Amino acid sequence: MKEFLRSMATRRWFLKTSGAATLALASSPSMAQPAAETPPLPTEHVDLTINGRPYALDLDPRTTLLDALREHLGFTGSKKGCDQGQCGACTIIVNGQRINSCLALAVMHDGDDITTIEGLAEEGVLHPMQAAFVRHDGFQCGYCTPGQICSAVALLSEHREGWPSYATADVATAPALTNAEIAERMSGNICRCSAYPNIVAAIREVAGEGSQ
Amino acid sequence: MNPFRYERASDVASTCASAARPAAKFIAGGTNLVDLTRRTLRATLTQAAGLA
Repeated sequence: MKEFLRSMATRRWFLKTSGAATLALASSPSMAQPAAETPPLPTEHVDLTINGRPYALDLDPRTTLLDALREHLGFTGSKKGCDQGQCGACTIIVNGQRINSCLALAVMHDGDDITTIEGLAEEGVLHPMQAAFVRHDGFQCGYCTPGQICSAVALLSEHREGWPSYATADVATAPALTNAEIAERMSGNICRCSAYPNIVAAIREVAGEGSQ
Repeated sequence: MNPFRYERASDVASTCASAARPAAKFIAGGTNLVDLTRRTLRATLTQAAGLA
């Protein structure tokens, strides 16, 4: 019995089966109540390309892109930290640009090309940014890390395209990725463990700016 | 989140028709409107992003 309980008591098992258990409770005869008739919610059809594969969903238009990923498609790498665009844990890359997926409605991204943390590694080989985060110990608890890494990958492409930031002294010149530039450009991703120095070091390394 | 009607704008004429509804709001990035619909806002959201 002890073995059996231990085998069941994984978080993944709990997530998979708790929904069914709730359903069973609700439908037991002792709890039968005449249910109020609620009209079916209108849904919107959404086609998404996620990490190179197509997905088709019919969603309540209120579904955020983050919930579509996590709750409907099982991409639980993107995290829900604050669910109000403050923390950046839900950062994903949409059509090459980073966004807070908790502030985006899934229906607004019909036809879009999405990259999540699950899509960065190729054939089991870590993306250079993932490898650098590991090498530089750019995390502690890891909760913000998927967002940090997606954000950092998009940061580099923004920088390559010459985008200035608030920390850029002269916006007419292509700025070097100094610590101040990286800190400013990563300011949408908060790390409660305060792994910032190592995160900056990891990004500098991948950017080819060397370590400091 | 409060319920809302979502309309995709396909051209300028249909966008203007959507925008003329009571409590209609344009949504582009969603940064503020998504937060507000979680709290108080009841509206028709018209997506105008992508319109030329």
